[in-house]
Amino acid sequence: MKVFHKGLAVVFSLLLLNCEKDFDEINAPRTGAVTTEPDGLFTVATQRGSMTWYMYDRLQRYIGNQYMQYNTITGSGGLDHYEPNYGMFSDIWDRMYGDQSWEIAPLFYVTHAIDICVERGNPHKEGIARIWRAYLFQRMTDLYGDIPYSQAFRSPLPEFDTQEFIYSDLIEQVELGKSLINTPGNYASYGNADLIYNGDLSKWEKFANTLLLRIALRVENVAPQITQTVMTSLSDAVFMESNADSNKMLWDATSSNIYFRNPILVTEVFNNTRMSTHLIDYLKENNDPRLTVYAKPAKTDNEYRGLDNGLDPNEQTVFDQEYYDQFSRVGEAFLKEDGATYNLHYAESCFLRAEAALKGYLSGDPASLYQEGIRAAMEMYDISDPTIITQYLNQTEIVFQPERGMEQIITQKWVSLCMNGIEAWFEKRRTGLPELSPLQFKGSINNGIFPRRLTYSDAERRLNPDNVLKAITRMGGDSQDIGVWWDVKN
Amino acid sequence: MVIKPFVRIICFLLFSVSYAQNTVTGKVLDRSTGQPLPGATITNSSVPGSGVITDFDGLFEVKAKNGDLIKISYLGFEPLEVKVTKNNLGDLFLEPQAVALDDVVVTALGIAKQEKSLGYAVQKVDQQIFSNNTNLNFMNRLSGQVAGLNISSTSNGPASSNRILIRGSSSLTGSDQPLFVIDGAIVSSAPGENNATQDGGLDYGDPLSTINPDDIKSVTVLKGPGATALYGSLGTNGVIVIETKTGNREGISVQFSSSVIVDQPYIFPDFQNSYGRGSQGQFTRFNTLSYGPSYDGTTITNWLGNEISYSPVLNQMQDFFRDGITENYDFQVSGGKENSQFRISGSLLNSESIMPNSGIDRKTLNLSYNTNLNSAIRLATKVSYFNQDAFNRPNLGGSPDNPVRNFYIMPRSVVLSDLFDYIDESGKVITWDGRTEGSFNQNPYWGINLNTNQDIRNRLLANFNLNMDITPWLSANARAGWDYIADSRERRIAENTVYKTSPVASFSYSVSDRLISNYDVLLTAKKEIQNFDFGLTGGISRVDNNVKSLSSSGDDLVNPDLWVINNFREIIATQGIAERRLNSVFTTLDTSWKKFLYLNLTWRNDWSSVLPSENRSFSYWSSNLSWVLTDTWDNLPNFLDFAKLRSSVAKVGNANSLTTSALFFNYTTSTGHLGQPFTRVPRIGPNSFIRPESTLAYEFGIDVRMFKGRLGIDASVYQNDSFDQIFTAPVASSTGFQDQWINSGSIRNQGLEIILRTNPVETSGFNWNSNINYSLNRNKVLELTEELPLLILGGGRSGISVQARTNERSDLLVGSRYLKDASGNLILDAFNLPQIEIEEDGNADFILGQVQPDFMLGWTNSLTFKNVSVYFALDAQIGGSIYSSSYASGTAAGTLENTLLGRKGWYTSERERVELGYRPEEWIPTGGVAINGLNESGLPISAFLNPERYWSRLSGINEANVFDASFVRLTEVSVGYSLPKSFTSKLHLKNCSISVFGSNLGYLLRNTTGFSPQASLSSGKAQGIETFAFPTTRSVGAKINFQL
Repeated sequence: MKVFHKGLAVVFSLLLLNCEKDFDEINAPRTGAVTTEPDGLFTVATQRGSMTWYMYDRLQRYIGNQYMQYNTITGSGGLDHYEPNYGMFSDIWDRMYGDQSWEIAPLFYVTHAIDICVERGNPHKEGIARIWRAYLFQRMTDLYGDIPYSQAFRSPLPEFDTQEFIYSDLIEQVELGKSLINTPGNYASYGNADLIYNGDLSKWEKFANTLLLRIALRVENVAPQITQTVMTSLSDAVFMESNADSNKMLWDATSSNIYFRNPILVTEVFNNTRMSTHLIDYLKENNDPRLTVYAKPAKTDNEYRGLDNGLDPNEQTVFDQEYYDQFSRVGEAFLKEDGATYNLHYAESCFLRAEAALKGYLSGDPASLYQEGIRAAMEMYDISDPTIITQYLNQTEIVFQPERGMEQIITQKWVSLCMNGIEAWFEKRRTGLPELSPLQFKGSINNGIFPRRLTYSDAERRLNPDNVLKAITRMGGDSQDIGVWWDVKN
Repeated sequence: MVIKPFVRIICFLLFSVSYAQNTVTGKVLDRSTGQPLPGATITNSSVPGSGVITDFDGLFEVKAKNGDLIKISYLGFEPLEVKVTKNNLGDLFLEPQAVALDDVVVTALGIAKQEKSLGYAVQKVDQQIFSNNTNLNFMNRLSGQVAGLNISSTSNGPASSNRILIRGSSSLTGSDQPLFVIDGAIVSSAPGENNATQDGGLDYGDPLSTINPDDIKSVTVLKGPGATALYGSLGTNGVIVIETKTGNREGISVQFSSSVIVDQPYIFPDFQNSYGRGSQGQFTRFNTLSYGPSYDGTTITNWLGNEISYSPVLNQMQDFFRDGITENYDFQVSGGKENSQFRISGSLLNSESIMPNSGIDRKTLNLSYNTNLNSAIRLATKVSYFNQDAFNRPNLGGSPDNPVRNFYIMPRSVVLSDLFDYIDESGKVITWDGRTEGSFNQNPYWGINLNTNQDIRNRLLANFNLNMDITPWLSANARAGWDYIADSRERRIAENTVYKTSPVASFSYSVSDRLISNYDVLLTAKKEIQNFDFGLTGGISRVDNNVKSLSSSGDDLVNPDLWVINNFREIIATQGIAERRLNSVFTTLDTSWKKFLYLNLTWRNDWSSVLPSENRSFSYWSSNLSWVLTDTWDNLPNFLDFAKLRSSVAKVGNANSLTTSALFFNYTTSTGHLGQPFTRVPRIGPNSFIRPESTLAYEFGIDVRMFKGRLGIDASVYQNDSFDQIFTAPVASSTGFQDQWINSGSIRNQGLEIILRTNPVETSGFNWNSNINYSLNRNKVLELTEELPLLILGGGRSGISVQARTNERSDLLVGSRYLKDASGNLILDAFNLPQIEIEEDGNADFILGQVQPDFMLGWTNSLTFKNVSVYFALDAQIGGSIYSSSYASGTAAGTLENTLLGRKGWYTSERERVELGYRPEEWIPTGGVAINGLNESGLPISAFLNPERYWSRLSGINEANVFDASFVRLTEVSVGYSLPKSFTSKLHLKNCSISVFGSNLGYLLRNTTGFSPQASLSSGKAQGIETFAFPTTRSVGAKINFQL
């Protein structure tokens, strides 16, 4: 009996004296680390920033590629009639910024990687991450206009910056990135964790210069003085020199995880993408050797035939797959298991320089840069026979004519950007080029007006209402018809 | 297969003949009626194992010698002790117990108390409710049995999970599942692991469903915080206390029972059988709709390329499903003497589901041993083992492998037998839309035969309880309990599965083990001082929760058909570890004055490891008062047996919804791209300032019993305010997170519960007890956060969601509604179709209803007539809404009967138009779906619409697919018959009974079309959304029980 009394007393006192014994240990994270190197975060930021299938499907296949008439989605209507798809626009926003299901926020990850680089004092990794971040944020602001930028991930209710401010900071960030990667000294490299250039600093610098060129030309209509300043700073810069310098994401042929596989290949399984009539006709009219790699012949009669964009849904009463077999599906160029998708390719670099030279910003011969761009764009998809390329280049329509220079450069850029619809869309909004086919459907709720931006996320509107409202007031609304800051062409 | 051992046991038992020796006879009668009492228990403590039961005439024969003391007991009567003086004791009269006022109930921490002393409501459910169990989850049996307890089942196939809610939902996003305590030990109370969403998933059922209902002695529901404050933070949502059977003190008793239950699916969608495959009245063989021409018997080329007659195809879905059959064998041996008792029980269950190629096996073994170690110390031990092997639980929700989804959309003219061959020579699917990849139109036979799953659960419950009387006024109790659950689960998705974006096979295999250990020590002191009684209990306890898991998934089989994880080319493995500990100190003081005024005070302090160090310690209290009026005054009217008022105030807190490590920003690693690992950050923003959440509860009740137990009313009103809720609030994605852990928000639940107990007929041969449980709960969100006007709790597909909104309820069904003018006229679009309302700011979300009912009613009846007992129960829920994704899909696809409206007229009109050579825009239709409304300029319009377009539009308007979820249901009927003693004694059986029973027999009131109002997919917050629910089944069974 006494033993029992004593035992009880001991138990009581032990517990009462230290009721929180071992609690720190019990509650410590067991499956996660408290600190980390930036590498794994940067890997995420580049891989997701290059758009895996989920983002590709929405942002390119449905939006960019339909707007720019690369492809048509069978029976889709909606976006193909220039009608806003608020759900999809929200989805893109929420997954670029926030860590949501199915996707991993590249904007957040690259920002966080920079913070860790700063903390750990690695200027090379920091510089690369800053350049990549500028690439991603330019795309984001070109999609939406004013967006959370300097306060993004820094505040529970981030304020929105004007696109004008963002652009000026993007230029600074790329410049800063360039100077950081040129910091002398031996710093640990990302190595293979950099899925784009394997940590090759010189390639990042060439990309940075090309990105600055893209930025400078994008704002030309609204801020020519910025264009001029940036161009001056780029007078001695080294740009991409071959397709090997292209900024691209290589996909994993052996993985069966669809987030690691070629996104275009993944979305082909849905069997509802057909190449656009407008693209197929353009390639055919100009005897473009890319026709047979960009598209597959129709299943029914082996002809290359595009499906019109903007069809009247009332005339598409047959949702039968046999009907769609008469149109061309996506071609082999885009369907390689170990293929790449491009963020900024060498051909684009050539076209940007051709435009800069044509306008007198940079030295160089616009005609030869234009031709080099076409050649690069063909070689990129394994059309490397010089006679075929020369034959194409020598056609009257294709031969560079300075008075039609802009039209030719941007049109060729459009062909080279095939399946990277949003970049082509940005250029269309900047230059009005190329000319696209009009919608057949007259009943579009948006009256068939070509979209100029995506609308803000519903969740952001709901959860960060004051700041969204400020941005909307500043921009004059949240409609997709409103041009962003640099979009003053029309 | 299982019959053989059963027969063997019976033979063995039949031939182990017992023999008689010195016997004493007598007859037991009811003093009040003078009628004999059959079934009274006679024991002779000096002859072990001598217990007998009186026969139908009240006669008994018991082994005894002169001077032995014989005890006669019978439920509802005062026990009688008689000293043996002669061989025939003659007539022995039992006095009826006045009224069972001294009911003892088990309260928090297993402390038994007199029910009359309680200041809060508890309700007890007796074992007979569980004995005729027709359901694989015994909790279903509690539906309608307890006021304030809402068991909402799902239609997710056998052994699926329930949502168990006591007095409404008090937590915004966390679990509101009550705590389960078995024989004093806290067991896994995790809500059902129902992973089903509108996109698919499986329902793994709840941990409770593994318990063998035949082992249950009683279930007591502790409803409000007043009753549960002693359980501290774990008891916030109420506590369900389960007591299991232990050995008896009267010799050896052996029981064997066997039952067979048939589950028959009976609610099927209301399909149309007039129009087949096609669109706009035209047949095309790969069309995915049922808007083709009306059946005319002509010859068509079907999707397989065969020429067949175009005629109605009936019962596709009915023929796909089958009757489910469950066999259950149960045995128990129990026995003991005054000082030690044991009980061994076991059961075997085999169940074939209504879905072909799917079923469950379950085995349980239960050992209990209680002994008095000496005059002061008593040891109670129990060990239970459960094994459950479930093969091929149905894929639910919008999964293409869900066969129900398929039947809602598959064109009506597709013949089921054409789908029997589901795989072609190249290993690709043969399905009705003619596609072999990138299609969601799965062949249902591929789904159930190739994309299978299996889960195995092993569970061990062990429990030791030491009771010690230290002095006459001081006793101690030490308890240790463990609940160990080991799960393994696998899922296969075969190569070339039609909806997969990659053609390779996928496999997932995961194992997890969970251990809940709890230890507590209680000291109780009791003292009477003049008119006062004191009881003081103090104690300490610890509950540890450990979860370890490893989940792996593999893609791309190396050797065909070898489904082990290492046979896959690409393997991803994720390890999970979560631990939490709760230490507590508590005390409770019970005092009474003159045995009519009872006051109970409790206090408890918890230290929870999941909270930040400065907030780890938190305490709560309760104060409960009971005043027995009938013991206060003697001059109350005679008809009043008992009357009591009770009241309770309690404040409880918890941090249950907080997950471990929610305080830290930490990095995890996952498989990355081209061999480069990904580093991941949390999706939910951590918060190192989290505080525990609190509930403040008031309760007031009255308990009156009248006319010698013929009528009883027990009523409670309560209000529970839960504030400072811990939840993950969605944040703007520009913060980088999806959600953020916060403390905010409060919810109020107010309610009324009335229990009416009646005993309208009571004669010697016939007895009828009839109880009614009524409960009403009003739920209101007082606040979410400053910024947040609403919180989405579930749903999300096709625009429907369940939301909590400030100043509204926390179970709102929200979605799109018809655009109407102020007087309710439809405003039509340019094509004269109804349209959804979109407000100026783009909002298209409107409140369409609430998920929970306004009130619930349960009516239970038990009748006994001589050897026959009849039990039946109804339950009802009035109010509440349910959205049907199935109905919306079937409407768009044209498979449902409602879509017949306007078809004939429209196709006739179209034929006329074509004959007369008009273009559509030149023609005014002469038939179709007639619609009246206003055009956008406000002018009235009447028009005929193309039914295909009309129904396709309606399928997208959520309001058009919301149904009233009210119902009245016949939940149970059972009839039991005990064979007369004169017959059973010849077989050397103490007792033999046969019962037939049915459950969920049918709805007497139902306002849903083609699905059950209880067919919700989720067993969590997002109830109220039906998505391709399995057909509701009725169960009918028979059971035979032998006792030796």
